[in-house]
Amino acid sequence: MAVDLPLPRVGPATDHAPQPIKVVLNWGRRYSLWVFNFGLACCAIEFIAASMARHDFIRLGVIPFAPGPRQADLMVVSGTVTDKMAPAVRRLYDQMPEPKYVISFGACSNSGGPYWDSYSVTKGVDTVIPVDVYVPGCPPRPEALLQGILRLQEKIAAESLSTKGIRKKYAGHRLASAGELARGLVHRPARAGDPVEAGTDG
Amino acid sequence: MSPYVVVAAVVLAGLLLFAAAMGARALLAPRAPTRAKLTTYESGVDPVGAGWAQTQIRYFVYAFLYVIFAVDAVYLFPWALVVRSSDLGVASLVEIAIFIGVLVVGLAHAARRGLLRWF
Amino acid sequence: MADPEVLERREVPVEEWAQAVAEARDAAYTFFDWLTAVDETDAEENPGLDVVCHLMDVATPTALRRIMIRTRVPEGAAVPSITGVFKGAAWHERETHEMFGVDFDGFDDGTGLGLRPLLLPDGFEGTPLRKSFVLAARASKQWPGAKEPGESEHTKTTGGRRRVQAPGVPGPEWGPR
Repeated sequence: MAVDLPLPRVGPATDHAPQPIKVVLNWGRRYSLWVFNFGLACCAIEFIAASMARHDFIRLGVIPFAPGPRQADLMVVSGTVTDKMAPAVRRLYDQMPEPKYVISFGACSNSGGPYWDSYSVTKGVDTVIPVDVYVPGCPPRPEALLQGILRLQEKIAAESLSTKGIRKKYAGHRLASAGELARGLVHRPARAGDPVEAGTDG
Repeated sequence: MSPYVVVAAVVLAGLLLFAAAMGARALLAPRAPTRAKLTTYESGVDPVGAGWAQTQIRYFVYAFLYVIFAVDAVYLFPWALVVRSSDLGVASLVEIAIFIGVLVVGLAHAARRGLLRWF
Repeated sequence: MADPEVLERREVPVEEWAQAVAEARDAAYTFFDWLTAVDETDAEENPGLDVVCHLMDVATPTALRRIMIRTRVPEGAAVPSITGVFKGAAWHERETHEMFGVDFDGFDDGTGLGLRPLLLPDGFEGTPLRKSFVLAARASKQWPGAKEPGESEHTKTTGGRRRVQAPGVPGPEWGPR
């Protein structure tokens, strides 16, 4: 199936923006992160605790909770990622608009955690999506999440968006493949017991 | 005249703001459409079924009653305030009576169908 | 919580499995709690899988009674299904089937689709909760803890660096450790 999607790029002004403009844009981007909380297990409780009154992360500009991936630019994967859940994580990451950032929160999403030898656990969410900041702990304290967010904000402040950079992310990254741009979606083969689909997009 | 100038200025400022925001987005925003990104959101799984769910037609009665009562109220309130000026006479009363009469026809139809019964 | 002393245990042969569960249900144990299996394929006598069913008598909420019915089935043999006795056992039997490989004869959950996996992802090969299932992740990374699962202060350590082989730990032929 021929796919005629354009290559990834940033806007023309971003490529040639002078440094002060980049500073302003980075400032705006890092202090208005909308977080898509991918809470899967116990670390989700710590994430919620970090959003509550005592260790508030809203004061850092991280406004919870985006209603879906399309309104989010930060995804916090907190909790154990199982092999059955991993495709959903990947799809939701794909559905986030650029520029997007990922914080892996907790030992299970960093590397599989205490369940690293299990038959059903993905050994770290960075095997399916690119991660920007890892917050270790089992579970990490809410202050650790605050520090992770600050570290991400420092990373965004030093960032320089460019077409080359974004193409590298989609074509040169360990987790990327040109197939994402050139190929259509791969569907699961139909089986007995599947509901008849009236019309899906592909 | 000058209040209208203010209104026009506000409208223009709104349009300019919108145009500036969209222009900034066109100049600055990164774009990276992939097939997976363009799929319909369904909590991370492939969407099942068509994209829209049709409401049953019998719920039109809610819209019907809403139109009768809300349109009624929207026009009665300003009329009641305007009638305070005494140079209008019986004509305005007759006009609003016609308006209410049209609405009463609809209300009578709803009552005949039993839509106004609570139990 | 139920008093642990008020736990009745019954051990039945495989042929009487469904009948024993039905008898327990008729004898006031009407609440089906869970059904699962225990891998006893390394037992000295009668190696096989223990299929266990836990039922409760909830007639008096302050005085719960429990019964655990157990049967040992040799590897590869099938167990009669108790979906005819407790419809809710369908999911438990599906999970036991996919995790241990136990076949349930006469499984019927009303959909006509038969005994199929419940929790594991599509295309998963193997029966993970068996002792013979190897955890492949352990082949590439050594167990970082001080003790192996199953090891306690009372196990005698053999001399040298040879560690206790817990079930599921791959042997050296699987790769570097």
